[in-house]
Amino acid sequence: MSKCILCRCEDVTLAEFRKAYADGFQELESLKRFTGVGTGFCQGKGCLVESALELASLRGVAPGDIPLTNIRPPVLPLTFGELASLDIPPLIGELELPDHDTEVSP
Amino acid sequence: MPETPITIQFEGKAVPCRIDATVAAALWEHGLRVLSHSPKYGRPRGLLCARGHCMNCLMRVDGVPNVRTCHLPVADGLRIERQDSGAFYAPPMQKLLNTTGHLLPVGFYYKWFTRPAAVSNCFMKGIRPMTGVGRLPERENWNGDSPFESRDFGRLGTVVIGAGVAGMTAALEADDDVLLVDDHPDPGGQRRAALDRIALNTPDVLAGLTDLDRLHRDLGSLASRVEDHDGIRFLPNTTLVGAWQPDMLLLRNEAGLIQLRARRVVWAAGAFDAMPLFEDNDLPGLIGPRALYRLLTRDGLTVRGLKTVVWGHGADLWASASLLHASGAQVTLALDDRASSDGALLETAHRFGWALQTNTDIVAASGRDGSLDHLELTSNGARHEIPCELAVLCVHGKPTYDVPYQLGVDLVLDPERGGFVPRRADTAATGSVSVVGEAAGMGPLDVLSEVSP
Repeated sequence: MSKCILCRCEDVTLAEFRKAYADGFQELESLKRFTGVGTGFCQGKGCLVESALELASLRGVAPGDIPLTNIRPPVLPLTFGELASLDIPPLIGELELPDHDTEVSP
Repeated sequence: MPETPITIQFEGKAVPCRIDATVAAALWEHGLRVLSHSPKYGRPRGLLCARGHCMNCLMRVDGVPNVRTCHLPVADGLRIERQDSGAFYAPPMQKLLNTTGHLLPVGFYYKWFTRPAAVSNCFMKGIRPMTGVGRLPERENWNGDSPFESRDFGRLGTVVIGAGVAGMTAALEADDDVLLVDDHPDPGGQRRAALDRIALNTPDVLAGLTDLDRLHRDLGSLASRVEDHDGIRFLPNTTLVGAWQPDMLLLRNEAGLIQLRARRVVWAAGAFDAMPLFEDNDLPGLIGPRALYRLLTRDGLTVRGLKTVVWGHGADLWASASLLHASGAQVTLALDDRASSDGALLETAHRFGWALQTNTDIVAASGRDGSLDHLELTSNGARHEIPCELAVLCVHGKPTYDVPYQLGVDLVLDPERGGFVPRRADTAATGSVSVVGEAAGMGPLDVLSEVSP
């Protein structure tokens, strides 16, 4: 059965994305949570731009009005072994919390 | 090519392969192009990004899951399995999943059986085991005890991520010590390797493509200047895995993780391949130009005699077609409505026997045995079917936005520049973070005209 796939990692079709929009999910953040686009292995490298452009055309707004969702590090998968090898304490001491983490509510 | 072939085991079947191939390339040459299946509809998945971003090529190797086979060199006796329980995803089940999947629409678990609590609990018990597939590593083959090493490079001056035209130029222009990072073994990146191959195998093709020829020469001269420069340290085969504002970076290579802080960060990591939306756009055999460059030049994929289509527009269209030609493939060039109809380019296509279609749009892809068999195109309004096992889709790349976002760059969605790009093009010069080149939404040849007057 042929399908137009929007998000390969989470297997979301373009039709499903449009349906979710019609169901009332009209922000990229809520569409991401509800449909799963951008939440898979690639974390949106394959679909976030496409989803945002599709949302702009569904809403009938300029692409520039669709804000990017939050993207937290790491941007590539790491193993627990690699993470455990990190010498964390000296970094934590110097680390300042980035602004966007404090703005986003859970 | 080395004479003594070696053998790997794919799901119990012996697969002879060249000693310099990667696992995925060896499987590809034997027609084994379905490396995994998608999680919900069980759709076949094959080589896609060749960069460690997608999950398509993750397989179980010698009992260890999630191994990137697009990048794994073959070794005699290597045991390869699809990790999504191959038997379950046999064609009948794929058909069933594909046709019944809509009965469980996206987000259904947010809406259905959420109350009363007893029903919800029961539902959750049933659905949770379905969310993960795969098996843990076999104990005897798991090298989890081997120590990963992390290193701290401390505080550095300028760190440049990406050693293409923009990155190398930024490194050469910096007025302090530079660490230049790239996920390729040599400065110049995947495009330089591709152009090198074209220049070596078919120099007359490159001579006919003036812009690419100039890009090739400039990449070469920038790379040798970078190599000779005492103030630039080149860190190959290394990727950036995250940034913490304002200046902390985490990198990774074979040896382990590297953390560092930088006074100035130049983000020149280029763009992701964009995959257009059409029916069955996820079939194995559909890839982007950047993946093609990596697969053919670095990962040992062979395409000799293969029917291929290169679709789209721009410098990557011509580079992809030339690289496929230089690697022995049969090339059909399908220009979209944005492609240049430059006479010299079309003359080159004609001279080297590339079939040419103009003003095309992709309607659908069709597969056989789970992988690409032909593309359905409209050309000047008429519908065509073009048989091909590999199609390279060349549209404007999607600028890499993830790390710039983490570095606090103000990004805006601009389809003309390919995706999320810095709102102000001059953010660059002012702050401690610069986004340059394709990552800022330029085309590969625009980067060139910026740096060489």
